[in-house]
Amino acid sequence: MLQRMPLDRWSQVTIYRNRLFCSIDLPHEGGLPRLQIPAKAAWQHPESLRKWLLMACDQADSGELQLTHRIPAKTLGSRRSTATLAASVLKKQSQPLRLKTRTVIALLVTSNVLGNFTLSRGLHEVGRLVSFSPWPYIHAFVNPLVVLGVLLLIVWLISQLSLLSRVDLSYVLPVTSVSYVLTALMGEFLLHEPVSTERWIGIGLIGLGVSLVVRTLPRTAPMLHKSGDLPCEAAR
Amino acid sequence: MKWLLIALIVIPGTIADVLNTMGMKRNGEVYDFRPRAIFRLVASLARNPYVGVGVLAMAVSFFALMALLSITNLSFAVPATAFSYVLETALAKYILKEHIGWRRWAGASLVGCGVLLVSLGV
Repeated sequence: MLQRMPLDRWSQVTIYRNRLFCSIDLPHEGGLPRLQIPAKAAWQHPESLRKWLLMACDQADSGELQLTHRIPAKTLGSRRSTATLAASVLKKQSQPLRLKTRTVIALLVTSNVLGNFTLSRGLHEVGRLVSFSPWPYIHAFVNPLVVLGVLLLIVWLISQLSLLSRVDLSYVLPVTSVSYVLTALMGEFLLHEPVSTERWIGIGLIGLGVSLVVRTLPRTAPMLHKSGDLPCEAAR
Repeated sequence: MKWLLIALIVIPGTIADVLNTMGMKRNGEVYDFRPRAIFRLVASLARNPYVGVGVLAMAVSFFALMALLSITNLSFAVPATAFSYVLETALAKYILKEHIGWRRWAGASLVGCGVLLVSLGV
């Protein structure tokens, strides 16, 4: 669940919320700091949350925000200079292109499946690549399918790494195994290679496993961020 | 030879995943996907030793898989990779300190079996 909350006339915070926690992105120079607070507290006292965030923005210089994860509910900050700070931040920085964790997973699976498919097709066209001379390899890179496959696998690597930066390895691995299912289904419907009974059972098992894993909290590993130990949580 | 190649697929593959996770968790969460931000990310990853060794190990595992596939068929090559789901879940618990409840264990095992069946039942 996502909610945008106006901080003042110029800026807003984005709040991601699940049952237990909500994560808050603050507008601020050089990236988005994220903090995690108990959802109940945030939702019961929205006004004091807003005031506390304003105060936190107030106190921050251009460096990093020093935030603790508890809301001092009674803290009432002043809002004088926040407006100018937020305005300057917004002027300097265009909105980042944020992708939800699920979007990154979809991107990863698609680029993996299509990348493997185009690369193997392309290399098949090129022929055998067992040589000590570099020419056959250079020649392979003239093939448009090979180039497309390599580009897709670069997309795959970047999305895999950014996914690992946010969520657990033990969450990423099972969830991205959907690519096996997609490969099998692509064989059935695009290449008209019939899917055997064993494969259908395998697809069912993968689906069952993934549906179990997505019901867990995506991130449980301790945060090892440079800026200290802010408790952080990945967006859903 | 076959077993050596299997070891060269599973061990570097597992090490690659664990090291990449450690490196990326140290690098901070990635949220910005604009081209410029991605270039900055790649530049910072090039100086990250964990990710560097991780990607290298990934390459070793990939080329070992290619070599194995050139001497045997898929039904010999993939069962080993299916086992790595459970192995990596265990490593995630003990090395990366992830909290792994019964849903994660059951999910990883089911996915491992599923991958096995999908790759064998061609």
